[in-house]
Amino acid sequence: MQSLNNKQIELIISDVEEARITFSHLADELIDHICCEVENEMNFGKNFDEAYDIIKQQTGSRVLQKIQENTHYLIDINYRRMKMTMKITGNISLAILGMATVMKLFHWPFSNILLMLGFAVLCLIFFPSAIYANYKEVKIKSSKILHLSVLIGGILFMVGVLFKVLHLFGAAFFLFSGWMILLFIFLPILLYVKLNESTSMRDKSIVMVGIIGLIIFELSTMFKVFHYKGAAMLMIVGSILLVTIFLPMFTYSKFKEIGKITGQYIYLLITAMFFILLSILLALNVSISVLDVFSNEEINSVKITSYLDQKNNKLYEDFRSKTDSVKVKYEHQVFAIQNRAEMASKLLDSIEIVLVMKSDNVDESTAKNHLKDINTIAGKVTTDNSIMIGERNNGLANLLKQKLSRFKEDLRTATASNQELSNNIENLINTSDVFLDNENQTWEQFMFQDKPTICSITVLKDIEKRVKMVESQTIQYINTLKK
Amino acid sequence: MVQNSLIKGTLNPIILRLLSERKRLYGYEITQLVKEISDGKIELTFGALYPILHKLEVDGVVKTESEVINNRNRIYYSLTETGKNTAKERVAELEDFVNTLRVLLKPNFGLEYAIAK
Repeated sequence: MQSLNNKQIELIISDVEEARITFSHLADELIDHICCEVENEMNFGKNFDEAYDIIKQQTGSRVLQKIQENTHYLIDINYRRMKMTMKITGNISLAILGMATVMKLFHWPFSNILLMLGFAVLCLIFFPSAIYANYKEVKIKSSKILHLSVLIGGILFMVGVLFKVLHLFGAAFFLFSGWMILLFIFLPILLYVKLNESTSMRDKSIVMVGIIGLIIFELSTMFKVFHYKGAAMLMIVGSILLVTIFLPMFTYSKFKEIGKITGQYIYLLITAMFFILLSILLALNVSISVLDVFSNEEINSVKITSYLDQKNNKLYEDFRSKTDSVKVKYEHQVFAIQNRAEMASKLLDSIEIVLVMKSDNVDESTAKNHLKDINTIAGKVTTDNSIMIGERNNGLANLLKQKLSRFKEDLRTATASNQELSNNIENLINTSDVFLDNENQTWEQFMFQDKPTICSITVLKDIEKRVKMVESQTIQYINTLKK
Repeated sequence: MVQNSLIKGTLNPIILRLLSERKRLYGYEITQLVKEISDGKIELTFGALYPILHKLEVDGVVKTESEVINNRNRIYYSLTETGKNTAKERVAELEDFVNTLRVLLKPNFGLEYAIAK
């Protein structure tokens, strides 16, 4: 009868420890069992290495973990219930959220209610049960804080995403606090725990690079969303750490350890790919292409406006050179139109300056400089309804609407004899309410609510262009009139 | 080799039966005994064995004691006082089931069963 020496037993113990078996005396039993199996093989004349190689194939970490999982499942009724709840609610919330997303894309009714329901199931049932199940499986020191922090941080973060999508108040607060907990409590503790767990220097460095890379990468996403400076730099450092250092190191060590690529590894790789690559692509692509559209539109509007300015000056000169009888008849109309158009232009300019001052937090002259090239505006994606909409619609958008309406009245009187022109003006300066998503929206809401600064600026420039256009058309028309 | 799906429900009484015959047993010993007695037809994998043993322990049917053997901890299982009764019940249940199966599997079982009655 062969029996193993201390060194051989230690090797087996360290292999079993890798599977992190913490349940009761299960680890002792598994170690003893594996030792007996190896001794049994050795009795047939094999040496230790050959014997252990054979047995190891049936006793990999995954197999041992599965035994522990089955034991939990058989004994702990709570664990069994949580696993069941996890499976069912995970599927349900996925289905609801998928439906809600499709409905939201098509602007169907009730999509928001469904979205909230999906998030509620996800946050309140699936997520806690998943964490409980994991908590039962991995019993390690400081795991209470670890699991609690990921639970609270994760829920806060998910609520933040929901609020952001629904444009509800407090999204930034939830996102920020969720991120803070995940980044500065959960991940550091995870790092500490993993460092303690790993035995070799190589494992330690892999864990270090992986988790620090993750922290930096998540920090960069947060910076990007909140428009802090340095997001791009952090994102580059984080993704370099993750993609070019952590992944190859991790792959290499996994490959050495198991000798073959397991399904679990491929799953991890794909998740990482989606997570990192897609979020980078999304962040870069969306911001660049969308901004291009805005800035092109804005540049066009500015060009046309300045051209129309010159043209209008010429038209006013033409009018002044008319015979006195014509001048006397139309002078007050022309004067009123010129006056109102100028006032509208000035109001539009000052609204733009106020918007940039607020979103970029700069003084008036800097804001004017930023407006010369809208790509320099920092508040590209922030939305602030307090300026344009205000409480109970007393913001600048309403003032603008009133000014435009008065301007339109003057135009209407001047063009009363030309129905076609009158209609055209009505279309170009349209301030009526809009029916969208099965609900009435005021013109102010439709144009400016929840719009990023850069978008509002583009809209304002467009309105200025339209003002000049109708001004031009009307004066031109008056010039053709005879006494 | 017997199909896994057939063995599934019978493991519990088999383990209890073995424990009531011997004073105490450890995990590996149980797998080897089952293999030996069944002439290799029933192979009790350690993946199936340990969850059951732990469940029995939590239910108070068996108790454990730890001993250091060959430089490693060995966990011995034995029946508790209440466990002895449980073992008898479960084994009787299985025997009853096997007898029923035997009747079911006989040719023309319906006829013979009716005559015997």
